[in-house]
Amino acid sequence: MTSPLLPYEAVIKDIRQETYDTATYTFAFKDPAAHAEYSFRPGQFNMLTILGVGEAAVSLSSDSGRRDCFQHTVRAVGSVTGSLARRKVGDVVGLRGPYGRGWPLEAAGDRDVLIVAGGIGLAPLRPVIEHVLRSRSAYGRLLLLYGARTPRDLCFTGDFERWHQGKDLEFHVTVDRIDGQPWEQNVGVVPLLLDKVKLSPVNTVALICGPEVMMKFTVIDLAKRGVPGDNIFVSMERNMKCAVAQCGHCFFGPKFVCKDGSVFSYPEIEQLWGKGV
Amino acid sequence: MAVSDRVVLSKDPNAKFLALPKEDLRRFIELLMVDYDVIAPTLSDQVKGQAITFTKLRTFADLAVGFVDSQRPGNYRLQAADDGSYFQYGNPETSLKWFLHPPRLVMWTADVAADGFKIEEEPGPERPLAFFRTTACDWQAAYVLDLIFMRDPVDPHYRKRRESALFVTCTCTRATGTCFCHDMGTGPVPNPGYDINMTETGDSFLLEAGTDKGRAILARLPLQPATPEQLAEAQSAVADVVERTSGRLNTEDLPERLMKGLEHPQWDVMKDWCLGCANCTLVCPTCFCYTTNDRISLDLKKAERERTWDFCFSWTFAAMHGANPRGELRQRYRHWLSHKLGFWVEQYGAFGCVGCGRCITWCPVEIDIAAIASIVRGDGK
Repeated sequence: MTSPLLPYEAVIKDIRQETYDTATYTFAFKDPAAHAEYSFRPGQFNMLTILGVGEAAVSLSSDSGRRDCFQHTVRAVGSVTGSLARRKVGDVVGLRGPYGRGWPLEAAGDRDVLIVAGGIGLAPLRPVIEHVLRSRSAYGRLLLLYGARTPRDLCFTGDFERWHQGKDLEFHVTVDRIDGQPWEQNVGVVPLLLDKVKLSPVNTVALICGPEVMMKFTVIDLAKRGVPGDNIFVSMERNMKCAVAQCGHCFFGPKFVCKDGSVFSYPEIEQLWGKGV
Repeated sequence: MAVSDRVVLSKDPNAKFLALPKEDLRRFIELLMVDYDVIAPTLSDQVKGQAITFTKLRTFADLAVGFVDSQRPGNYRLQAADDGSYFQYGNPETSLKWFLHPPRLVMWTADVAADGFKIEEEPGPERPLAFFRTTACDWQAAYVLDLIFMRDPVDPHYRKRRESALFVTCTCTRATGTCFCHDMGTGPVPNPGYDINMTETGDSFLLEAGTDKGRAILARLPLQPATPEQLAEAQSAVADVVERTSGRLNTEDLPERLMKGLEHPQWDVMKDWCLGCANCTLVCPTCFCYTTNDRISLDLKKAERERTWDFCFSWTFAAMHGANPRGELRQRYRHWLSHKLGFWVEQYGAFGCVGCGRCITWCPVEIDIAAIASIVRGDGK
């Protein structure tokens, strides 16, 4: 490969269905040397190529400490992600990366880590959960607030039992509404889960990812509870084509979501958010 | 502003000006054509010779010589020059962007098999490019494109075209009506880095080497040191251009003012005025946004990725599944102007706008970017 912008061959090692439209794909690069060289930080993403179809940004959702393989959790919403959904184990696709500014784990050292996620927004945060669980003593409390529209839309339910049972993690889950499925846990939008936890606001770093409206209300609520703006981080989503700050699609005011983000501290984007820039 | 008649003809204090008689221009061009594909102003085929555009010269005869233009908002007229001048027209409708960052470019092709694929990147142009008669504003535009494509990670396609390119820039000795290089700090005298700069006088071109590459070329031409009369004539013309390209836009604090002006009522005026036709982005020498399209042959054996220019005025530009952050034309017009004259500075350390005036000339509804920015910045202009 002559250029770092070209896709590498990546083999699908495993496919796990998360919901009716979302699956977790386990990958390894076909070339062992390329695979050995590859690593990522929680919150980063790759660009997935399906030859002849196109390219799309996909979040890395696995433990970044695992070097034998890595995972993407992808919802089928368009031509590229829809094509991926039709792949089988053993198929080869193109991947390049990692891109983006990941979550600020250094800022969270010795502090409480509060993760607030909605729907597939949990995918780029899952590496944080696994990282903190693995390096438990480096962090304070680990709190996970997660929800989706209905029980059918919850991702990573295979991890729930482990997360519920561990003493290392306080986990609350909710759904916006029930659609006839059995459900005995919380009902209501994700920001309402903040009522269930007792925060030490100044000592809490909040990492938030989900639909923009959910993130907005979560940020407002956290600010009301006294969490400083500098401690609040959100993951913005924008149309991406190049992932290297050259195609212009991901502009968010002066910010490149692919390079300056997708993770931003709240003060960085406060002036821009909600203005239609 | 007061313009002294000791206007400098070069930003290099040690510049030496050598005069090439106009009748020897052919030798200069033909010398360049030996080693380079020369990209120069020619008459446009597409509009039946009624506009100047950049194309690759097949022979010296292709060069657009002896024309003069008038450019006004939404208006471009070309006519023959009656004073023996060669290049007293302003910016061609196209710019160097069409060659450094082509409108359509197959980035790579891939051989595809069941168990994988093998990619081959496009090889780049066969011969290096020489850009002839690049105005100072367009030279600044090359610098601006460098800031985008030559920083890590370097875009290999741009680099292949840019690294070996030769630049023969020019100091305009006539301003055509919509340009404002002096306001933007980009001209009429070009910023350093060009290989050769030319300034046209009545009987000659005053040539100045800016690099060793340029010096080596000038050494092969029949040049005499410029006379004081020639220099004075050039200075007088440039002083006039300085005056005519000033006073359109005050750039002091402009990025901050545009950020503060995100809710200015002028954007509501623009949503009913702008057509969203994207002409401005086409003619702008620094608009760089692109999209990619993947294709595959019917037998699924050969795939390719093509890059094409894209336009932030299009409704789909920022659209994602489930949301469109700039779904209104008002937001998209505001984005284009606020980026070009504002956000760009934070991103790259320079304005995106170089004051070339093309967007003003080629806007079908006569929008003047400098006038709109002046309203939003709030000078009361």
